[in-house]
Amino acid sequence: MDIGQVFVDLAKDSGFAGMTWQNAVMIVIALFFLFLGIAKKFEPLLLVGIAFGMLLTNLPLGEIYHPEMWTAAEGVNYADVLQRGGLLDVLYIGVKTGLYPCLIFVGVGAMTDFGPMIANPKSLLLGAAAQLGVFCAFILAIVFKFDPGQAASIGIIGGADGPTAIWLTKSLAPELLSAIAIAAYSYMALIPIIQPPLMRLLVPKKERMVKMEQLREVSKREKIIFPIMVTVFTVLILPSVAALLGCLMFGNLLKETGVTDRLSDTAQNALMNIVTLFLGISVGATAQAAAFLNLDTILIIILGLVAFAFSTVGGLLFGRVMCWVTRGKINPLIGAAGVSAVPMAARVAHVQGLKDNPDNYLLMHAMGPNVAGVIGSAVAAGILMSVFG
Amino acid sequence: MMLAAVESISIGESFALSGVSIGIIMGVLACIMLLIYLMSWLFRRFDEWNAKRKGKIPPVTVDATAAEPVAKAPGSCGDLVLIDTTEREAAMIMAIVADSTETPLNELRFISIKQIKE
Repeated sequence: MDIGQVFVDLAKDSGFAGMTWQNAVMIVIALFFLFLGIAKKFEPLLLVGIAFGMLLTNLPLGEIYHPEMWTAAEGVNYADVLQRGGLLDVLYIGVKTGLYPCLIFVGVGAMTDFGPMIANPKSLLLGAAAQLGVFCAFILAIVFKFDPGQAASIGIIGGADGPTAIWLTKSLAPELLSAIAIAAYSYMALIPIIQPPLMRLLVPKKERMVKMEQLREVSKREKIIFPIMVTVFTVLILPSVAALLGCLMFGNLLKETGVTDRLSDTAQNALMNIVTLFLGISVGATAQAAAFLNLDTILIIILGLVAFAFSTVGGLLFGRVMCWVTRGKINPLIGAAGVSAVPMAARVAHVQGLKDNPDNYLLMHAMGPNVAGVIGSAVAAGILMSVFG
Repeated sequence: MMLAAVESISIGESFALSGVSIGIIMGVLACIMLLIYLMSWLFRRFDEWNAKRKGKIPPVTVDATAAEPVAKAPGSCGDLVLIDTTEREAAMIMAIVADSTETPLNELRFISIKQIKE
């Protein structure tokens, strides 16, 4: 045996031999996202997984993810994926089939208290108004010559709801999945920076100081019937939201019944953590240089910011309308929480309210539009799926 | 049933689609809002009806020999029996117990307060 030749062969088979400058750039970007997730705590539960998936998939010759398997014109051959695919190909099945986003929604539902929204049903309108950014970004994406499916997927970043964005994008524009997921989660982490200047700009101090009446207590019966009622009604109107909204409401029902505590606990913790882990790393795997290093990614990052900003603007302006209609009984700041991003957006509205009036506690009031925004963004995704799916 | 997939779209159509979509979202969420109001109203009426129905049931006969409490102070979670104690004294005792046990008053349950005579 020629020991020298063995070393030569090993060197040829190593990742260093297959490294391109694109791989190197992607590795640097992955390390940057890891820094943001770990050091800056930008949505670390998802971003660390996404960044690590990005790192793995861009290390040459690893063969753990094959984008060509997922973009074949004749459709995905799952038998081939299981036989020839790498680890991340197998995990990606959960993204492609929409399994992970829906399971995450079961967990989100189990963690969500719809009580503040049931106590103040008007907050649902704020959740609807805060979807404005979805459609502003959609129109802008069309202007920038994205195809309609891609434009819809870019727009849904404005829903500020990661699982919803992933659920829609995996069907309409899988080639943009990594960029859209990263934009969605990064901007969700940046809500405390994006929203307050818009709040101060669009809402006069007098209205920001409005104190709202204490919410009524919501009975257990109402909390149990709510998810069933919303599922039946919404799915009958928009069948395309059945998977997302059905899972969200199922999780919430588990929480509220009081007889399925074990299931609720699993949905909130074990299931949520396992699925988050798989979702993050497999979404990150799609960020290979060919799909990520292009002008589209930069445009998506910019349009994502536009989407978030306009969603905030929509919520705030509608909040002002409601403040005027109710003669000062609603603080417009809670409209900004309608962008979803539970509970970060509600906290931001609360903190801004406290700065303007130290006796003003808006958190529970803002939770109403906040959870309404989750329903609103699921409905928006359902509409876009119906039209472009 | 899914609609036929849209392959291409003009800017004008994207405006129109966005307007319609926002209208649908607002409509769906407004309908959910109305359903919540309806549900709350129905429950309120049901509770009122139930309370009235219970009010019409004749009271259960109490054994005349059973000792009757001297006074009752209405509370949010049942009644508190006061025996040889004024409401003012009871309120003070409740406040002291809440303070010394560091428990909010609404989480404490007092069944009766009785003055012990030496």
